[in-house]
Amino acid sequence: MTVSSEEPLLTIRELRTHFFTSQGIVRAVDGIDLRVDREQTVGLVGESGCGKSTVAMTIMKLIPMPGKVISGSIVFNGKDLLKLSEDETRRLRGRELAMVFQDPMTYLNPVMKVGDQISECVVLHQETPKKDAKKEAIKLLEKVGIPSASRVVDYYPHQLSGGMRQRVLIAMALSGNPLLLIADEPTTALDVTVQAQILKLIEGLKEDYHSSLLLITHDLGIVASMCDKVYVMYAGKIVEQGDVLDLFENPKHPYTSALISCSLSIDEYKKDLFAIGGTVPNLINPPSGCRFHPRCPEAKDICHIEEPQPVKIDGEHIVSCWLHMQKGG
Amino acid sequence: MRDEGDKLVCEKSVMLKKGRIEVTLYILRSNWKRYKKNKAGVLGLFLVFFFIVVALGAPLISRVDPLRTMVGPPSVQPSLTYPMGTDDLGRDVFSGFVHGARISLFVGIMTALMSAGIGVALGAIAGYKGGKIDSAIMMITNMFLVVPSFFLCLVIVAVFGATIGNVIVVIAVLSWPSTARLIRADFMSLKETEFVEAARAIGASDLDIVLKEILPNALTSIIVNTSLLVANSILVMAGLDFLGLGDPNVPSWGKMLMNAQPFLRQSWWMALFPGIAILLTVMGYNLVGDGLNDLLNPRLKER
Amino acid sequence: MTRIIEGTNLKKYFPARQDIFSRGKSDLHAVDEVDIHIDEDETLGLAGESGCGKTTLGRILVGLIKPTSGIVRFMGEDISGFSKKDFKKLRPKMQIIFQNPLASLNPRKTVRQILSQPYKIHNVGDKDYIDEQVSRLLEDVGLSPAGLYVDRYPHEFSGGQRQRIVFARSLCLNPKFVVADEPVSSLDISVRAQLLNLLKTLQLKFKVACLFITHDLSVLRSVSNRVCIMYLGEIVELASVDDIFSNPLHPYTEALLSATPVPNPRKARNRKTITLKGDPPSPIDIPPGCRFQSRCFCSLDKCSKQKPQLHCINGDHVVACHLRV
Repeated sequence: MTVSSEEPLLTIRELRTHFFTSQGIVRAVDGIDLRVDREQTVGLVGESGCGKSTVAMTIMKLIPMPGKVISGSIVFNGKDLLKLSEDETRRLRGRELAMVFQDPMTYLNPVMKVGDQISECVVLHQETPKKDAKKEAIKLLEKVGIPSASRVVDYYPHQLSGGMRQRVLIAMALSGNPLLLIADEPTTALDVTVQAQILKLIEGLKEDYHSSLLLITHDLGIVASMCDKVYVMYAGKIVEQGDVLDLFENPKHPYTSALISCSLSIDEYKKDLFAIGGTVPNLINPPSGCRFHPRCPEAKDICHIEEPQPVKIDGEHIVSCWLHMQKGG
Repeated sequence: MRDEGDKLVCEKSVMLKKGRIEVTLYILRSNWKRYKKNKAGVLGLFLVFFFIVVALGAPLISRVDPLRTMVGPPSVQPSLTYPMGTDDLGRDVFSGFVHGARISLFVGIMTALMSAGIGVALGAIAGYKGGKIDSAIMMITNMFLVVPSFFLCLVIVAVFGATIGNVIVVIAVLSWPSTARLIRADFMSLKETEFVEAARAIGASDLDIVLKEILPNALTSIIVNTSLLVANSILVMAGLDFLGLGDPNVPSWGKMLMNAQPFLRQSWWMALFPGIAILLTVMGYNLVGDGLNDLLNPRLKER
Repeated sequence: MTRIIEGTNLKKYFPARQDIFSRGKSDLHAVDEVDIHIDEDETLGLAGESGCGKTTLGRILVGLIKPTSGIVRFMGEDISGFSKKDFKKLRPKMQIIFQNPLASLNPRKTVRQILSQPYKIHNVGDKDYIDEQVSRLLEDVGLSPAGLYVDRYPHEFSGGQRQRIVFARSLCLNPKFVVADEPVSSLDISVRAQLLNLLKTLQLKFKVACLFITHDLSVLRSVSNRVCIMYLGEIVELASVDDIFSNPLHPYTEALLSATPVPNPRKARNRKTITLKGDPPSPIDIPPGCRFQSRCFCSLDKCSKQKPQLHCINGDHVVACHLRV
């Protein structure tokens, strides 16, 4: 059942995913709203420990123990994923909803030929009969730009380079013609020239398949070149969201502007590198009020006490910060 | 510039007000808290301590000579005067139970220490040096592993005489290979770590690196393995005694079991108590070994 | 300007297979005919992708790996033939900082023990002196008051703090030369900047020559004085930081720069992008001629036959490419 193409593809509301560990409850994702439209590339950016990977795992319903979704809804293509049964979820995974992970070596079976792994996906998702699966696998390998695909289809993962393995993972993710591709730090483990190749590939394929892309990363450079819309995440919360040009040229949240100032670029020499003091907070006992206040250069009294609510700056640009609450809040 | 790491560190120092002794106590206390969560491990620890206490306090707990026959009427059932009964020759089973603990513990711990000593030394050298020295030591280790150790024990003890000293040496010499292999593996992986490279970069000598950098990190394996070695040697010794090859002048559970064989139906208490003793002691050390392993390698569990 | 460290015609080949039958036949050419030098107070950035040999070169210069051939000179003295004993005296003067701070600190040692070790090994001062120095070092790297930190274990610190401890350790005995191998790559962006600022301050204060190894060119822009690009064991381009970024001459440098993401959406979308084809060839079976030609987007016939030598183009800008000569 497809919904009209005016409707967003993915709408997340008030999502809360907590981990119940022996040391306490880790509030990894604590009330986020996120939207991905059709054929759009959305970036989810944040530093380590901010909860962005947990968001991806929650959408795929692959949260590791001891995690649990506490509240919220994830409406994908008209259906609330959190209300689906395990069977229904499995039918979605790999087909309309696909994911590419960070470290290809960990996600590929080392004792299975690459072609067999792709064939497995093809049989499962496209319902191709087994005898045609290998041909499909070769076609997919060619599509992701692997040379001599008919030979590579019989290779084992360890015989391939990092970039090639990531292409295989992408081939597997695409085997089901996904509507939404989630890529969690897909290039962090790769060399920079290989990264450029893979990002170009993902962009091209997204166009070909008319899919949407949710790109999760800590690298602002990747966000700047790939994404249409960006969500900035900090300590389990979305602090700012907006069109990519808007966000970079007009950041409203002190964390966003700090991140942008901190980011080094080949284009400019920064004599005195701007640094944010302190580190990412503990998600078991996050700071009261606005979670960024202990590190914020512009924190006011109210920031310690109460959490700021999202405020619309204009169009898509929304920020959660007391500095902007008076205007239109 | 206050860090989250700062907060962690501040909390501890507020509690401790610095000082090495306080830090050590704090570490012991928090480790105990974590160890406590493993119920089996706590049981094991209790059993180990129980038998240590029994062994140390043996002469006070039972004034009766365990080897003296006819301290009471033969084959008496467990009663108030003889809590574990007497055997066919009138020996006090309770006394045997209590005094047997001494010898088991002594042999167990001495053997484990000797075995660990040899195993760690050879494993460390093989793992750290690598190359030909490693191959040579591994060849020797494998030779020992191939031999069916229990039978070799039997033969050596039968030939050279069954004194406690001999038994300890024999068991130690035949059980070091497993420790050696474990430690060799640890050393091989640890010597490639960056902190060892950093130590080399500072100018530390090989000996420094082995003793101060690598060994403390291999301690986990050594401790856990030693605990299991104790369990193993107690079992082997009981086996040797059971077959009649133990030191005849020393009270032991294995010998009691041997004596109990013809009387299993009539005087069940003759076999039950030494049997339980062996079971509980060996189980205790095994559980402690597991408990320590879970405590010291926690990362495998949490995620 | 004193020349602190100098490498001439350095080569490091690793045997590709361990058995007796293939000795010498197929060697892994990790570093091949490299000339390099760093002066006092200077940071030389060494960039390249995995397998280019930058890590091996760094370790050769700091004495942790012995080169297969070539000479390393430290403060003018030839140290290539030094024995272990000779090296021991030199060690405090040349230090290395690794990428992963958790892995480079012994998890079973306290900060005090870690930082006292260099002093103890080289018999510098008594217990009180060492304690004093350790406190001073911790304050120098921003971990103040030192008393809060000395008796803690590495796992009790955050990544950024651990890296500060690693910095402190390398500065213990006033080194003249420090190799920083991806010192901030494993840290969050916000912490990265803190540590880079610290590195700059410490370099100024202690006047060390620094070899900054990384695959991330954006870091080098703001941190180094000169930049050196390596590909498959060879230096392909070397120039001042301004020259390399404004006027890259080697096609590989251009490709690297083009591939490095820029955190500016307007610039990012209007850039000329160069995408290289394929993966780097294996460092075991090196093809003749230029090592980059299989992936180069502007190679000539000459490139597959003759190996380009490093030529000086203008002033300090050196490049090994047939196209530019």
